[in-house]
Amino acid sequence: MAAEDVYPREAVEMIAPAGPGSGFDLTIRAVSQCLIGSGLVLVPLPVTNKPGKGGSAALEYLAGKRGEDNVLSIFSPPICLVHLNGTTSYNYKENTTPVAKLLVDYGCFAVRCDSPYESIGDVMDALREDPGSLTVGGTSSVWSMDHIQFLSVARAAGVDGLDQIVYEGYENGGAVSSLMGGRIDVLSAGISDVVGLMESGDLRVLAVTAGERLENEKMAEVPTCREEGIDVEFSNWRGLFGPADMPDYALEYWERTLKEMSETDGWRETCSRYGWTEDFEGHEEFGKFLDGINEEYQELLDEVKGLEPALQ
Amino acid sequence: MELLTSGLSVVFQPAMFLLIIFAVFLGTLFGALPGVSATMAVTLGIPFTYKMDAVSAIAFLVAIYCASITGGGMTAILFKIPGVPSSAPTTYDGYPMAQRGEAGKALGMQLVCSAIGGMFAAVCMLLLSPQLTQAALSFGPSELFAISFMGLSILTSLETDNICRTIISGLLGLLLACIGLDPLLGVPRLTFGTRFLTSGIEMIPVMIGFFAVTEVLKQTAKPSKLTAVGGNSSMSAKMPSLKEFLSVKWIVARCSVVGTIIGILPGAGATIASFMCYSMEQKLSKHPEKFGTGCLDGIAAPETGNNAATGGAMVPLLSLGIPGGNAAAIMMSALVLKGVTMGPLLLIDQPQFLSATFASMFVSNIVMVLAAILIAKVFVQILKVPYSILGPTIIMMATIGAYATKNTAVDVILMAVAGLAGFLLVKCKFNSSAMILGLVLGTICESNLRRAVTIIQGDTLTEAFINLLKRPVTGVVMLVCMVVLLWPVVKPLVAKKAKAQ
Repeated sequence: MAAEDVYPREAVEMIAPAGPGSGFDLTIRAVSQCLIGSGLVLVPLPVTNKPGKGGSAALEYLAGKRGEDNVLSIFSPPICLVHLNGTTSYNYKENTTPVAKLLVDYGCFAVRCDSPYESIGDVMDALREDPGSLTVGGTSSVWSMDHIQFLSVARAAGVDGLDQIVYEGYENGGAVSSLMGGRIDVLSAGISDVVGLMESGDLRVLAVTAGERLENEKMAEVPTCREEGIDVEFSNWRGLFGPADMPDYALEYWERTLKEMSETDGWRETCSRYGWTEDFEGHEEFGKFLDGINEEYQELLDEVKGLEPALQ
Repeated sequence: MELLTSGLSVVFQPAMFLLIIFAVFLGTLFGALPGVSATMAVTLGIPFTYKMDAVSAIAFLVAIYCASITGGGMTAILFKIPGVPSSAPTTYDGYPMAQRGEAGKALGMQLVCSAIGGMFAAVCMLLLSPQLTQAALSFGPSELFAISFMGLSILTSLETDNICRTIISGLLGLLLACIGLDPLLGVPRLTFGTRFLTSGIEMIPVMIGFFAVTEVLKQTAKPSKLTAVGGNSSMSAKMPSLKEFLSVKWIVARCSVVGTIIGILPGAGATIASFMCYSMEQKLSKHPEKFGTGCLDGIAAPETGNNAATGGAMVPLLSLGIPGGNAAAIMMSALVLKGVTMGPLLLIDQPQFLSATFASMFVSNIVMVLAAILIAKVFVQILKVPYSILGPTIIMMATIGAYATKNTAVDVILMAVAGLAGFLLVKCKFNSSAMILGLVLGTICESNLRRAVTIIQGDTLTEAFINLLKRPVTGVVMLVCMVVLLWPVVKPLVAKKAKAQ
């Protein structure tokens, strides 16, 4: 029998580029649970956590596995951002093989219930007047996910001096409690971070970064940025990556298996539970998507960081 | 009341009760393994919860969490390996006691104090959740800085006759904490251009190296005592007497309160709590010179504190849906996986979560005390194993532990280097505990101070810093820190002057 017929014979390591309990960890565990539970994959899929440096520790690990067929990792926009902002010299193009995009999640902006800001437009008005007038906080570090998410909306809203916007990155937790305690004015984060507090009325979610209103019943009442007159979308896509030069039989196997998984009821249920939007894209399409999105991030970072020396 | 019985009825269902006992066993085991922190212990417990309903799942995970914090203290006492970072201060007094052959007494004290601290926190959680939540929210970076600095201020009193070297060791620890990516800006610092250092110096491998590896090297460096150390025939499994328990009652009371409060703060709750309780009790003690030589007070303080912090950590999770620490974050993800929406409405719509958590904490702490008597007897026997066998076994466990933190060989190398460095430091009379203190608290202190200064407005840095001190909690705590920090330095001078007159 040829190698492709019997692949996979042994366990395939699934990498979560962040600590236990993080968004990455949840997603990859959900994926491997789904693959095993549906009987699509018969070999064990142990999850290993490789936290550190906003995901670049896992990227570096994957880079060291060039040509192998027994490791997959999940990544999201930071795989582009950590390279563009100078955290690591590795990048998705040379050091990984994009296998498939699985889902899209969106971000949102929230304020406390007693905040003077009633809409995302109010926040942008204040920033247009004085970009340093309020403090933005998020769950990722400076120049990464939540920061870029806010800046891309601010840019589309025509705010000048994006580099003067004060951003506090709570990489190790504490972003939501800082908002509740009044130490930051606006929170830029994922939807799951705020949904419970929105329901109870402690937080007001001003806008989501999706193109259309979300289907989730709790979030459906929140307007999109576009409805509020800011023509922008920002998605937190998540996909699986193999090491660079992954053998063709492995790539084909995973592309096919993941596609099958994305069509199962189990996966649909998982997605709706977490509020994710399914969005399957295979190797080729995903690669093109990455090239496009990477350029967008680069443009944005170039613009906001403008005069700042490169962080290399 | 109805609330309470609903929680107890969950926990006392025969199947669930057995599961809680299993969880305590699992947690103690994981906690005792170096490198498997409380956070990781809870993660390892998650697969067991797949088939449980959400309320049972949280009860199960909470039991693991509480037990792992306690389990970490046992290895700290017996082998000078803090199984979890929060039991590092337990080694200061626990290990010397075990060396003297009083391992049973040390373990008994540790387990009972842990249980009392844990139960106190559980009661606080049940009764005071709304108030504690408000307190948690009002604690910002400046207050967190002040509290972690309080932990650092113990530096001058760790070794009062060797203050200069101890301070240098502490500062070296702080320097090590600076290595890696800048916590706020994400730029690499002191990495010498290598990738290995960009993640920073991982705390757990260094701790294992400094404590466990250094200790083994120290023991093997005196070949004549090779068997004598371990084969101490007078090793006793005797538990502490009632009088000894009563002698620490105020310590336990104070540390329970402090631990619970610190536990609700985000970040390294239990770790800061145990360091702070240790330093606080040393200051308040009538015989501070006994701390560090193997006294029961020095075990009671950190162990009460770190277990009290477990209850505190659950408060913001259950009342707001905001995890109070890493372990709580994992419990949250386990519940989300079960379709529970975490948020303030949870306690109103489904109060059984709070009561089940409470019942599980309470029961697991009691189970632990009962198990303690048994465990202490068995564990003390381990110390009778000749050191020529025990030593290499400790090194093996340490290596696995270091690898397990992040699954990288770099951490094993780090552990080995730290072990050798720790040995040299001890030989040169530097204080490796002080260095660990700097390393553990450095990052928390730094990022909170810098964050506080940016949030609290001021035209200049000095002005921002002064404004910072004007905040009531921060100001008072910092004042106390200054007194604690300077007193051991000033005291001899005052004494000298008094003598001269």
